Amino acid sequence: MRKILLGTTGVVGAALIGMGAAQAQTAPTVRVGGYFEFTGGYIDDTQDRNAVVIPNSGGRTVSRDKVDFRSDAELHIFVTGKAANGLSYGATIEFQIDNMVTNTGSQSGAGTGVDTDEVYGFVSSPTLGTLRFGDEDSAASLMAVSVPGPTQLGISASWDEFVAQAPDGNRYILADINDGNDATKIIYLSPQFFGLDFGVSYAPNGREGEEYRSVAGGLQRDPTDSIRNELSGAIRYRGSFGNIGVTAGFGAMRADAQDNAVNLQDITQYQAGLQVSGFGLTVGGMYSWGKFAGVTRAALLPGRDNSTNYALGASYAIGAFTLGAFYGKAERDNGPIQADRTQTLWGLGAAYTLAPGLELFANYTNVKDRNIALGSGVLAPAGNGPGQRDRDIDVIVVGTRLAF
Amino acid sequence: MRRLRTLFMVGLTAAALAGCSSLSDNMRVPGQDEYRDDSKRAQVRGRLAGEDGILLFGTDRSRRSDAADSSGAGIGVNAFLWRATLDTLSFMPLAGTPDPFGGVVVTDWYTPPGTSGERFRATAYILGRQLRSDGVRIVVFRQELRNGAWVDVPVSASTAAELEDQVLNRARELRAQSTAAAR
Repeated sequence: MRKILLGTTGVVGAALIGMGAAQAQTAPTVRVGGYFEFTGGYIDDTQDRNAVVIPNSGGRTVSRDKVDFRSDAELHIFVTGKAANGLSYGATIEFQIDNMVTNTGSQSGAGTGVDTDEVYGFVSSPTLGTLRFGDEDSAASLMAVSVPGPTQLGISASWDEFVAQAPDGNRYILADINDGNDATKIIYLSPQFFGLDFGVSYAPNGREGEEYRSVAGGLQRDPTDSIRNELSGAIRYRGSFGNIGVTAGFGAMRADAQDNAVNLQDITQYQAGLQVSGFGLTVGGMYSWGKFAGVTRAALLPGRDNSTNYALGASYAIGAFTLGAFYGKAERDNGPIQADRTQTLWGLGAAYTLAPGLELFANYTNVKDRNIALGSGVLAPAGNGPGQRDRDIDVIVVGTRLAF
Repeated sequence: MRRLRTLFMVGLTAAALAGCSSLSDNMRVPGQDEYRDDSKRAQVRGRLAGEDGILLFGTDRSRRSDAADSSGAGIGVNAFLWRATLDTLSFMPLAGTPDPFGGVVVTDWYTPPGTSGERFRATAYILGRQLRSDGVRIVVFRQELRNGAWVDVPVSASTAAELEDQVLNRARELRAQSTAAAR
């Protein structure tokens, strides 16, 4: 009997030893994702009126066409794996159809070039949090809480892709806290404790990819090249009380201005946001403020003060439909002796899910832009027409998007 | 005053200790998809293929939980119990191909290292689609070499029960991992 017991204990022991080998690591997976989008727009813009001079006509002008079609696509590659010790790791590589903005800010205009969007690697520990490194949004953007809305309706969504640039080079100025422009950075994202988590990121300068510029044209490490030491951080809360979900967040960023003859001011931006959702309805808003110029993290001319953005919105999901509306306003300081630029927006829209991953959408956005400055900082000439300081835009967008 | 401070410290330590278990219950690392994504892809509800991206290479582990308890899944018995049984009995050679539809795993004869005169084999039956403690039954056979011939001898009743416990523990682990992976 003793021998029987010994023998059988051996069997169970061998089973126990075998268990260790069974907990092998998860083999890596490679996935491809992305989207294709087609949109048609109807644009009524006061800056389009008589905006085009017909060549060799003695200065005769015509208005821009009101209808345009666009197509857009991105292809994403996701590589993920899990080690035996629980550590997840991977990389995300996103290819986008882009208008190819060159290093100097000019556009090649081809409209069909392909370059990379976000390109980053990550490691994630089940206890310590996640580290992302590469060309990725800043921590404040990754954790930002903002205005809800159906596909392609929002403060800087589809409408601005159909309109011409304002005299200062910006189509829109009302936006969430800047996303860090995918400048190459390191991001730490913490575990979540009782619904709270935080993130921080650091980018040494504003360049991305393996970018280096010729010695003649300067290097990305030159203090004159771009903003430097960009630090970004955010904290957010996600929880639910009964059937009501609450998401709240606060984010902040700062960066040194590039060295410049006019002594540009260092950049700061903050954003607070709140979303409350229940019974298919989500309402939310954001308020953003700080010392920055234009849309995003551009250094501010001396003598200029705070910029502000705020927006409120709601979306309601009923079956395959999502309906939404928003209102928002942005203000930029145009200097001590000039009126502030204001951009006021409201919009209505809907999206219909035709099949999983396939949506149809339609929306209307109304834009009122006042006191637009020129690139030099001086107000554009008075008037509501091409190259002038005021502007009114109505945009209707209808389209479809396929995501996989 | 000093006593008050001591009392306060004791209270604080007790509160911190009590908080420890609830901290671990309320701590997790957010998934990679729980951050704001400004890609247009992120706004669309659902995905064309029903999963996040189309799998080009590797094995999709996230779907195991779907297969475990649903009726129309690819195997006929509970996937956690099935996998756990294979893991547990993997130290023995398998006889033939296991049958995932009938839920039967039959091992070949196995001689534990260090013994030469005895050998074992096991048959495991997974009895249903539910992950239940009575969902697996294991029968162990044992033979001894006597005068050059293998002879059947009795097996301690607890051996099969211990193996069943191993399977159930492993199934529980697999389910916990699967739930964690799906979060």
